Amino acid sequence: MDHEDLDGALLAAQDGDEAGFAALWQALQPAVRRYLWVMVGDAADDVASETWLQVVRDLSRFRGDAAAFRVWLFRIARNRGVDDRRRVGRRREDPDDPASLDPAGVHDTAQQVLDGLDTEWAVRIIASLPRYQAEALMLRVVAGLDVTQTAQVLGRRPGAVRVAAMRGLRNLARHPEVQARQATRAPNRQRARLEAEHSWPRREVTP
Amino acid sequence: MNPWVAFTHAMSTFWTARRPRRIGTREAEQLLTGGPVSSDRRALTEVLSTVAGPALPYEMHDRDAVMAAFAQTRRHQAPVPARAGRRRPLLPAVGRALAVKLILVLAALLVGGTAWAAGAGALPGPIQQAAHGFFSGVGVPPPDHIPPTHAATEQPTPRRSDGTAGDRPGNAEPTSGGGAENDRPPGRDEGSGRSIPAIVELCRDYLTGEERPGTSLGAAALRRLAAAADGEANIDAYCTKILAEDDKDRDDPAATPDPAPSATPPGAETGRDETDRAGRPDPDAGEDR
Repeated sequence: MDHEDLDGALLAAQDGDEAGFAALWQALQPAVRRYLWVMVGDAADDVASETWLQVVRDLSRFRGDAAAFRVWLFRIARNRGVDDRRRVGRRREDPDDPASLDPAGVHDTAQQVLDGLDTEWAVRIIASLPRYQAEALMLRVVAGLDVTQTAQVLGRRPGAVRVAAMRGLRNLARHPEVQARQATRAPNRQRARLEAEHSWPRREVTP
Repeated sequence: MNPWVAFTHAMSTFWTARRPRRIGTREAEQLLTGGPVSSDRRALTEVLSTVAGPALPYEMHDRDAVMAAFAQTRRHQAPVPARAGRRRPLLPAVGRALAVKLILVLAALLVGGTAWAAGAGALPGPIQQAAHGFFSGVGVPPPDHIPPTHAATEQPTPRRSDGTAGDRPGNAEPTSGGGAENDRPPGRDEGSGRSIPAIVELCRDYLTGEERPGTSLGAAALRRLAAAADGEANIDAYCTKILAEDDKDRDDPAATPDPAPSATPPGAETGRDETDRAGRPDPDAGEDR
């Protein structure tokens, strides 16, 4: 759904049109849920529900176009996610945290790499990054926000967001599963190099 | 081959073999926005495009609950159109705050003014009576003994030529004149003596003031007395008579307690006060002429 469609859906939803709101929800719910999954893991469904309920409640007060709505929506999602983390005391910085297991259940990752990528696997890989980097990547890639908008959601400076996303990508490139994936795609020489490479770091400390 | 070129080539091969190229800000931006990237980032690109892939069924099972919430909220917000958020508000926020203040000030003025009027006894009879009933404790006086309606009927009957100014209700001159010495504010109605107690007070002041020149009445009060007495020259006689009648009323408890004295019209010198008091307590006070 492009921006014009979202603008139309947003106007309709604000007029109380259910079809308009349904279109909004359909276009953005997957991104909301995936973003929340890297924040709160298995609680993503509940927190996504809370997010949308707040959107429903405050929609009449929202002003702006579809781009502003995206920022608003993900800021609500983030606040709800932060609340949930606070509530549960969940700490997802630890990559061995059971909550950081596969979004749709435990998969055989080797098998998955062979079978090809799927969304759950990709979400899990990103969720294994330091949370701030993971959030920045999800907001940029999944929510479709630019640097400034992501900075608004995260409450940080654009420069910090840029760096976080870059470091997230570096870590992602060094992730063993991504490297294994790359090896299957790469010519022999490069594969040999990648197999020699096991620089996947432990967690970086995020503030 | 140039040894230097061979050396740098070997070194760069060694370097890239040992260490993968680090992602810089520009490449990061290209990866994030789906721009062109080199083949050694293919897996990374796939992760990024997959994580933003199409909706999966298990992500959308919440649809009914959210839509129900939307419908319900819409029903609850029905009186307020859902569009209100984008509509220009009736008053801008600043104007709204100003309007609220204005209303508060107006309300304060209204209440304060009414309270002042009640305290001064300047309200119309029935209202003054009610105010007296409620707030006599804080000094709100009872109304004059002739309800203003009769005063009004009396008003247009011009008794004499000099009554023009003094006859208008709402002229506050008596307060400036007699207020200094009167317990009761005489300003209720300075018109042709429809408030007998006020006239009585004025007369008392007038007579006293003659004895004590320093306490002379104001011009308005004099005008009023003159109007009531049918000429300035008659004030003396008129007031003497009024005061005598007043004393008689006080001595005579059988006289109709409250409204009766009011029946004594300013033109009491006609001598009709007795019949007025007995037969028609107050309604005709002003129509005897």
